[in-house]
Amino acid sequence: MLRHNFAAALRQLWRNRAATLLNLIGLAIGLGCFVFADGTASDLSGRGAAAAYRNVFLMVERQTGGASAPDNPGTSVLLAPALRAELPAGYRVARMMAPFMGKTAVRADNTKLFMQVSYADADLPRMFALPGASPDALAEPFSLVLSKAAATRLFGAGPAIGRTLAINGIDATVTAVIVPPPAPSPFRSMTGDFDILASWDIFEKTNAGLVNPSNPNNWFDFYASTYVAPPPGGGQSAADLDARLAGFGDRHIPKSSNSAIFLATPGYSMLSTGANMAVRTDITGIPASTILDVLGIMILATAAANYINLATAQVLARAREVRIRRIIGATATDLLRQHAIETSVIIAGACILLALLAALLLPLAGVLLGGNLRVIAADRLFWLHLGLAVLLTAFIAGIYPALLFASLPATGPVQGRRSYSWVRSALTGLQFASAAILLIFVLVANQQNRALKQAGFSSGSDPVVAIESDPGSSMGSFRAALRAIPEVRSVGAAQYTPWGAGESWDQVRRDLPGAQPITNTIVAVNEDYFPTMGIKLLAGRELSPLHGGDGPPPADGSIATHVINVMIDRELAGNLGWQNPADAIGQPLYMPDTGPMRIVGVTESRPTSVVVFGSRGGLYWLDPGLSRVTLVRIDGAHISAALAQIDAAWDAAAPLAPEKREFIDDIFASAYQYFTGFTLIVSTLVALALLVALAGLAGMALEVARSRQREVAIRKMVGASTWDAARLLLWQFARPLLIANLVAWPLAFAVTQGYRSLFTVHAPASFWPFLAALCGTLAIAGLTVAGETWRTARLSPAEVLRAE
Amino acid sequence: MITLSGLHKRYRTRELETTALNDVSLAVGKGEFVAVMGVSGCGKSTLLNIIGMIDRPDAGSYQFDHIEVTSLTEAARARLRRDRLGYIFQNFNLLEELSVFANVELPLLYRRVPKDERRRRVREVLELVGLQARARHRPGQLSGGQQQRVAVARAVVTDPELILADEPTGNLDSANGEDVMQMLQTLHEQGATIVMVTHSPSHAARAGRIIAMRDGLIVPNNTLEVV
Repeated sequence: MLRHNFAAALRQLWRNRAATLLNLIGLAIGLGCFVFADGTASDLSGRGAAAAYRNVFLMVERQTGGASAPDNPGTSVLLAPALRAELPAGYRVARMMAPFMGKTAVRADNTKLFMQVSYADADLPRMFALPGASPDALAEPFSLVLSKAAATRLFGAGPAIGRTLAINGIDATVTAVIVPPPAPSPFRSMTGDFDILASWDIFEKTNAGLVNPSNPNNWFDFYASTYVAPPPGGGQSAADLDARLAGFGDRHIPKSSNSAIFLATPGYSMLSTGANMAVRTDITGIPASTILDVLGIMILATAAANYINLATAQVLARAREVRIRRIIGATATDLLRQHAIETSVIIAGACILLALLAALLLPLAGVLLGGNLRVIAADRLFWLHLGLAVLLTAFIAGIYPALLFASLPATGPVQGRRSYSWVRSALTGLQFASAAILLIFVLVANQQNRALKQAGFSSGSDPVVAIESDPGSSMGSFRAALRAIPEVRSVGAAQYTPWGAGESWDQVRRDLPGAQPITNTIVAVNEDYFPTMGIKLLAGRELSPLHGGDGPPPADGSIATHVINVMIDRELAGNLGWQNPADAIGQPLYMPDTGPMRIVGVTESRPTSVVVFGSRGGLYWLDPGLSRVTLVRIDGAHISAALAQIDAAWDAAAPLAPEKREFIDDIFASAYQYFTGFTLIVSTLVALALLVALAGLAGMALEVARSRQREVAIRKMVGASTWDAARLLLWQFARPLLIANLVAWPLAFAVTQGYRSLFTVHAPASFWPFLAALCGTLAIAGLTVAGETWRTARLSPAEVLRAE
Repeated sequence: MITLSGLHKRYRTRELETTALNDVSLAVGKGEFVAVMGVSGCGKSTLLNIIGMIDRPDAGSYQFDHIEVTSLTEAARARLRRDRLGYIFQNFNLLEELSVFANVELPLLYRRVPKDERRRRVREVLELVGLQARARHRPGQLSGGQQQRVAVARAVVTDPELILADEPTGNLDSANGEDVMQMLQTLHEQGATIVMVTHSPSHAARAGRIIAMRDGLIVPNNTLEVV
């Protein structure tokens, strides 16, 4: 019987070759998109890497009370010592900090470079295997593990182990050289590729002026990834660890020292993650991996809907076959099995087609995923997802047509044809609703990219150059030398590089009962920051060392008696309730762990980060010492001369340190590139989703043309022209598309609003992406079905009726 | 009204070629009631399809009211069909998904007749065929005779000059068949030109002229071979 069913399936598929091909292509694309999306999700989340480290837990920080925020996979650098004090012997605790504020100055003999330096506790190599390095590679003070590529750049072909490097001027010894961590490895997904893994004491010495471990108020200053590994064989779960750490936040994390003045600050608790590795979250709190999985499922669902549509249409055309089978003894179960085998053959064919395509496109996939295919392949969850996707698709796509097939009557007409027509229209609508949402999203994302680009490249004819220095280094003489250069217009400074990595956030509130805290960026600047960056003053005055109250907050963080003068931007002023900037001047503000502040000036809003990260405005305070990034506006007519003199000034001020100089327009371009890349990926998925939907529509066109030939012939007999018939058929396809777009618009609006709100610069909301998506889907769908529609509309009525 | 000269029509399949009409010439005057008889496959339905402008001859001339139809475009022929012809078929050829009212209304829609006028006209013809109470029913809910009456109503709703009927009683019992023939008779008396294909000598006898066909040719002098 199985052989008969299989042969019948092949015959049926061959007989309807066009529909079979469309189904194969649609399902292969759908499965392929799911594989790509889930593979990328696997890569982002490090699931594959996590598989090898099931007994290592990452600590996350969860706010309790106050405003809710996503769990923070970064935890205070003070967490690890506190955990060691609490946890029993046998537990390993290790911190690992991603490259701090971009690259770090490294010097080996006469070679000066900026390199990616991560800092880690001695226990880290004991918890995570580093092939080529012993578990004690970081046990000695001031020790380093180099990647092979970094060793070559620093020392050439010679041996590196035992050699000395200066990290931020601190001498350290190379104890191991490793090849890039093989997959699966947490290092690839957590920190990006690294050049140097340095022992933690180097970080502490570098930041001695900034981090005082004995000062509990430094709890919130620096964050790292903190790992905990229970003793082997202990069978501890994340829940067990969480139970041990109950109340940890109350015991170790200080309440605000200004609690007598401020409202209660949110408390914190420490939790271990249920998974081994933190999932990278985007700023919505929704893991990027989840977003990608949803996209992949949407496209796969579209392909499944296609199949249901075409298979249902073919079932209805097989009523005579079913009658004969039933007359000769087939039961409903026999018919169900027969159709299920047909569906299985199609699904298997789609998987084979996908495998062939994957083999062809694997190198490209490897490039897109950063060579991490092995990581993904090691992720058991990825294969589980894939298996489930294939099985569920086969079941969901096949069950309705199979039940329909088995329910066709042995005699009499097929009942309820109109309801099948509604089902098919609904499925077509569902596909196009999904495609419409994605298409609208891509159009809005492109709009957003253009708005970002306009905002980013706005330094005018006189470009601004950013020069980074090491934290704590004095740049006074360097900046004085810069000011003496004739081609230099002005010299400002900031804590962070505009558009670069690194930013601080805090929550500020007004001195009003019930005032809600507003999350804001907070930047230390020097007195020339605003004119250098071309930021206009709207009210009040600019910060200046000539004013006594303009200066950094006290270093010990204790309750301050003197007021810190600050400037805020228009956006923060508005969010705090001052629509007129002048109304904010002289007003007090409060922030946790900082003394009271007073607003002395309000500027125009000029974001220097691409993404909002929840920030609703900027706050500036005067601290030239903390402003480690020198910003130089140079004469646009003498750029080369200006740069040469800047370089000379740097060499004179810091002969041993490499210079990191970049135009902020270039920095923006790098930051912006991520979003163009992201939009490109989503655009590709959208194009594939549309392709799948259109493949289904083409199949529908074939089936509709076949089923409505008689009707067209009759209509033409009673006076319909070819155009009348064509319009009738086109409307059958256009109607579900129109409804689909209208249904999709509210969801698309919500999604695009959410996306736009991520950015500091918003593209203005407009209706045209929605209209463009509607017209685009109608036009493309029209072109897809035009051929078959016109062919049917032109049929000679006599031929059709004669054939009857 | 109708002048056919030297019509030829062949049908070709992969295996063979069939001559449906072989040098057929015929004239039908305005107001005539003509019956066409012959055995199955003699070409009578093909002849009717050509007269009805839903098929084209391979050769020959067809003039409808002095208009050379063979040189018209499909759009022009569609307009003529819409405005001046009505069809009745053996298997009714109603649209299953439309109600009786909508089926009858269809030709008026294609003529862009205003809504009120359409409704009035449809109600009139439904009353004429005795089916006004079934206006909301679908064809599947009617008997064969009722369906054919709907088809008749659809054929006459535009007041056509020429009514073509291809075996209009072929699927009906004698009583219903008689009803349909009576309707055709009435329409003829009201001035319609009717060309009817039929197997039934008794029904053919109601026509004013009988044309016999055999092997794609018109048999001269109406020599009929009783089938």
